[in-house]
Amino acid sequence: MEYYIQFMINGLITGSIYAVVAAGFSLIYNTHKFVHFAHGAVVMVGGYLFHTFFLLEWNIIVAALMAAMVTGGLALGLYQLTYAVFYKKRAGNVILLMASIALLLLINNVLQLFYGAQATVVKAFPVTEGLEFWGAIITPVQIIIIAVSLILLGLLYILMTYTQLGKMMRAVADNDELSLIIGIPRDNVKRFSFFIGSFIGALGGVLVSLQEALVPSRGTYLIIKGFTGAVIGGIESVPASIIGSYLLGFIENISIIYLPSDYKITISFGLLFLFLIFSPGGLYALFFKDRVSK
Amino acid sequence: MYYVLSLLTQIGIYAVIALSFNLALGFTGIINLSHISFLALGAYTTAILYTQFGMSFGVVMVLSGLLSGCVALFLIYACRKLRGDYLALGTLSFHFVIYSFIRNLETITGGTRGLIVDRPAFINDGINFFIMVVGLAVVFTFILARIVRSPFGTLLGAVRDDEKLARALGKDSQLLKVKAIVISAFITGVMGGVLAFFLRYVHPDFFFLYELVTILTIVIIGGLASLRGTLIATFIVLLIPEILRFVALPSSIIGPSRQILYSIILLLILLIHSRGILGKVDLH
Amino acid sequence: MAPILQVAKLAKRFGGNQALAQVSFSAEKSEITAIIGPNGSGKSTLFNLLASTLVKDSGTILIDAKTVTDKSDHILAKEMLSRTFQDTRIFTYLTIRQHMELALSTKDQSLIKSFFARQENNDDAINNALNWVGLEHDLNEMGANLSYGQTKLLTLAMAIAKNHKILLLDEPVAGVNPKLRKKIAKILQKLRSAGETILLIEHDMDFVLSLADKIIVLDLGKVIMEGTPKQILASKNVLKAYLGR
Ligand SMILES: Nc1ncnc2c1ncn2[C@@H]1O[C@H](COP(=O)(O)OP(=O)(O)O)[C@@H](O)[C@H]1O
Ligand SMILES: [Mg+2]
Repeated sequence: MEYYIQFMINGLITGSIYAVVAAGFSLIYNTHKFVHFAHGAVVMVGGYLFHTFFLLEWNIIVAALMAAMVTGGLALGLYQLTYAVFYKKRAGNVILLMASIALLLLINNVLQLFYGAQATVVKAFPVTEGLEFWGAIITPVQIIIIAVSLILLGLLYILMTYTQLGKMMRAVADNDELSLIIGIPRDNVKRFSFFIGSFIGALGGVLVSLQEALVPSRGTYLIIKGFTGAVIGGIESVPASIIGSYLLGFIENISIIYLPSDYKITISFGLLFLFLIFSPGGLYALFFKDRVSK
Repeated sequence: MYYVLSLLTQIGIYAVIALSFNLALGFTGIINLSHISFLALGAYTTAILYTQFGMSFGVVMVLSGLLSGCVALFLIYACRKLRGDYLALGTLSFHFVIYSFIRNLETITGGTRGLIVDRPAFINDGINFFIMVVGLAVVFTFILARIVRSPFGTLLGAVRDDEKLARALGKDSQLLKVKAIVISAFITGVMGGVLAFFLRYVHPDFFFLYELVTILTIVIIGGLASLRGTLIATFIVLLIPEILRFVALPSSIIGPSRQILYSIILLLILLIHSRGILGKVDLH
Repeated sequence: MAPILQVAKLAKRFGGNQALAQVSFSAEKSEITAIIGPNGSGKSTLFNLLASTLVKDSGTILIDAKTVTDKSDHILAKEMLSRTFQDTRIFTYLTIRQHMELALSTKDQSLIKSFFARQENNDDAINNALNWVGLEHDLNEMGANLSYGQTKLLTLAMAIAKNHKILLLDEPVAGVNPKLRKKIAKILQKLRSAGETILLIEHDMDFVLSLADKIIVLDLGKVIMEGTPKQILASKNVLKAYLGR
């Protein structure tokens, strides 16, 4: 029994990080309708910048927020240089996907030039003993990760539901053309959503850095996981993507009970493939089919 | 001398991999982002069957191609309902599945330790190896050129341009796609075997997404649906990073710089929406 | 002799939208049967069901008194149906010659045969087929470079050249200038005298009245009338459906 609780807690921790990655990714997907694979690298930029700011002995919260701000700004710059140009040329989604893979590779390797390929450890918190809950162990850092991600997702929910900007983002996500007709500054809303998505992603990178050493190529895995979570839940909906990501965290950690731990990635990659083939709209489309089909 | 020979051999191998990628992407319109997996399957089949089971060279080559072909058959069947970027994502996720299996099936593939590959005696020498690669490249290029110029090639073009119209003309587009991708995967699988012999070692990370970007860059620079363009682009793309070598940079910088260069080139070509050197069709 | 095409109680629904409901009609050999009706009345859906591009919910389709709905679209196309699409489709990067080769050839699927075959010159057959529609153009021109009118003619030429028993034409004169419209009307008349069986979708009444042997009027997925041009013209009912919108 304790055994299971431990795996559930581990699932919650993993899921929290995936959910933060997926939230930013899915927000961008919904306002832009293309798969921004480079988001994984953006997440890592957040983690590394946090590392740098932290070394400057900034306050940890300031360092995290500044890392997210700067990452968001950099991402927006890249957006203007690449995706915005593609939009102007009405390039198709396949081109955008290829471009985003190229961007992922580009950012990965720039990070590698700056920080090296070896692991970079951020010692934001002293290593402490874990606390025991019903026989399962959880460290204070892990509690912080879970709490921060919940707060972050809560704030995103408030932003999307109660603010003017959030409503505009939802309108753009709902119907791109129509949003323009009813007088929404569509392109600026898209830019803003890209910034916010990257900002959240960067904070995901900060969370990653609290729990493990940073490696540039980790971003590729994180985006595949975030993407998988989003596809499992339903990429067309930000909340569904988040739920899917928590689910993925649980599935991965529970699978370890039955399979060698290396198979974690096989499980999630396999799930991604199966969902894309059988239900590209994810669980959301399975349960709310009528709403999705036009 | 050894350096030049090895570089030319590498160009020969990559040229064929890129040509067969173009058969699917440029000539048939199948966005197959798991092309590198077919290379991996061939490489591992060769590594295992030749080095561990001691099967003969010819048999190993054919089996490497066949395994890749069969897996391609499965993939295109599984993805038959997907189009456009969803097909790209489906094949991409399949690539991740294959990659993770190769990493995890340690007893067979050696996992992250990789596998040592013995070379057959007759190609142990660099020159002989190079001659074999040139021979294979000529044969495969001839076969591909013949295919794309034949009426069958026109059928593939029809499927690429408008699948619905092709079907309305009585063409079995699904079967045509199957044939195109199986040929593409077969050739790539064989070249995977050659690559394994060339490197004398295989590792899962040789066959990850990043390598796809190299192939994609070659094909997009050379131009979709142009074999000649792909051949020229292979030289350009593989020679450009060699310049970095002469600037005497440490290898920790050369590695990332090479990839940065490729991704920037790919981005630029996509951005100016060019058809590349000799491209005949646009990417949509 | 039984009608070449018999459709009974054909139905198709998209989500909550009943695009076709219990549609029954028949078409005679060597006649032009026109299907008219306002936008969204289900005309193209009917063609898609006939051609098996869409799967019907229920109903039967008989061609030459044999049921055909278990055949997949490309086989049906190969054996008996030629069609054009409302959104004029061509192969962007193929030449006119290649378009016509695709339409004329029947057994070119085999990779091996095609690999060893010599290039044949079938320009005569191609020019012959293009003459039918009066498209005179360099055979090496790519689809992307053709004008809208030329693509309309090319798709028509492909449909005619391809082996078929019935021609399904979806709005062949939509969006073309009056001159070309007359030209296409003439082509249709010529086809009819050559004994072709044609199903013609068109929502312009005048065009249809002068050409068709029989007219079927669809509205909201139902056949609201069926008859000769004269009968249709006499029916106030139909005109109201038309003009009332
Ligand atoms: N593939 C489809 N999916 C969903 N709805 C469709 C589809 N095709 C047609 N429809 C709907 O079916 C109805 C009939 O369309 P259609 O047959 O194209 O009409 P027409 O050709 O007479 O203008 C319309 O309401 C249209 O929106
Ligand atoms: Mg229509």
